[in-house]
Amino acid sequence: MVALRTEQSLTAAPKLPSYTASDTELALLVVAATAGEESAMRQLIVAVAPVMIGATRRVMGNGHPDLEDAVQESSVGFLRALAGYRSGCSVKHFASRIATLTALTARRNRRNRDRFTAHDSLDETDTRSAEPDAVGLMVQERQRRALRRILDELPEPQAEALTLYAVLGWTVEEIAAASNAPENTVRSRLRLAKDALRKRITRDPRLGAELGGPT
Amino acid sequence: MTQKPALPEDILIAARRRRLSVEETERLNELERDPAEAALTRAGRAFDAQDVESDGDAALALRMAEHALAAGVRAAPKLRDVTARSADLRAESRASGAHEWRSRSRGLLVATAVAVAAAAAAAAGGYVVVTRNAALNPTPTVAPTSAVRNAVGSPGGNAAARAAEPQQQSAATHVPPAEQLKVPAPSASARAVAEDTLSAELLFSRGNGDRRAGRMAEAASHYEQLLRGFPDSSEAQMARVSLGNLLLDQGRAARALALFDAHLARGSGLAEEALYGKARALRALGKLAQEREVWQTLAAKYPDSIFARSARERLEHGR
Repeated sequence: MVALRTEQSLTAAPKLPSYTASDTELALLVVAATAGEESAMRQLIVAVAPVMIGATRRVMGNGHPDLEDAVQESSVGFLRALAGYRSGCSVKHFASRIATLTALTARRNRRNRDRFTAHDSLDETDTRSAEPDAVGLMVQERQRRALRRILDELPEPQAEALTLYAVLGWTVEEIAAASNAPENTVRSRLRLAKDALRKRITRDPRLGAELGGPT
Repeated sequence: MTQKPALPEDILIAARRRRLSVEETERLNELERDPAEAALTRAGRAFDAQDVESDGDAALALRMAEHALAAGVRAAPKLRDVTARSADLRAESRASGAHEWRSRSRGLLVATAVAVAAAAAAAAGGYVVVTRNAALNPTPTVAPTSAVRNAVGSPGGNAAARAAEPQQQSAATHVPPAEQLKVPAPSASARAVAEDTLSAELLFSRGNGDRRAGRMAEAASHYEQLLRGFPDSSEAQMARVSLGNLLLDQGRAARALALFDAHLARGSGLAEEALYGKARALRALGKLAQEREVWQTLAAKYPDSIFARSARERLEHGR
């Protein structure tokens, strides 16, 4: 088994151990997991779990009622997709993208199921920010919420590209590698998504105000 | 070389990752006159500020793993079970480079034999061309990184799969000639190696399949056949751990202990699993002092292993 280095003892704190598995170590785990080795599958998921959980939180919001379900589902999706993994992107990017797509779908499903509830407020009861200032917290919360609403409305390819770009902070090159698409296609999707965002802001000044403000 | 993103998308992401140059900052300010770009920059920073870990994340990560495995998920199987190869890889990654040449030579021989045994018709010519990334990606769209190629090293049985499959190489899938190995057509002894390899693989694969399907008696039977017929194969080495765990679950701790010991005596991959199994077997047999020694060994030799947590809990809390 590939021994993963951890930056803190597993017993020292209840927090998630911060794995620093190298790309090569993860690639080895992928080989073993793809061959059906359960311990490798388990280790692999634990190793990529932090990025998957992080991506899901960003896309859905910490307080979203479907968050844990989406995370669990993404772990299943990750293993299922593993045989299709290509080393053009890192394993962590590969896992993050699966978590992102799962989370986007979960948000849309929730939105379709429950259009009238306080979903938008539920998924944003998030006070766990590095920002110490309460007003700053509220502004950031509002900005995240507004962008998520826009993402919910975009066509899926554009939503995926804009999420990886704006929410996760990936470069065009990283998005292209993870989604196996040409960079120009990614740029095109981003351009269309920004056009849609621009129109929405123009049409709805309140949305513009929510997305504005200092950070 | 100074990073100098030329396109708007690149500058916006660069602004989130590093300090921009004066020139880049001016470009960013210019871009942010567009309300959409400004909104994305602000929202992006808001998302970056949100990232904090939760106390429940460790437990959630474990639940994710258990959920995926319990869902019966298996990564799509390759035509050849490459577990043996991956165990070699792990051993190689820890061992010194002294074994590298031997491992690669062995891998080359097996790959040659397996490729020809499974795709003799396709290899009617004097040579079989085996791509170095065949073990990792049967149908790659992008060539793997050099690190992975080097780690995977010699090709495994998926070469057979590649040879048997229709060629679908595009520009993206093309592997440069330098990355190809021209392998001489196999000798009779190589064919014998292939037959043995396939037989051991087949038994191991069947044992694994039965085990995952919950057919434990059949699984044990296949593993036992493998141990009898091919005791020195790498599949047999792994089967000792699988069979040991299986027997341990059935309450046959003494036999399980013998299997774990045999595995450890031969010294290869899966040592953590074998130590973990051995400790559990000793506990089941009431040999608590020996059990404690094994947990201590496990915790000391593999402190980052997922089994180390069990070791520490057992040592510290007796759980």
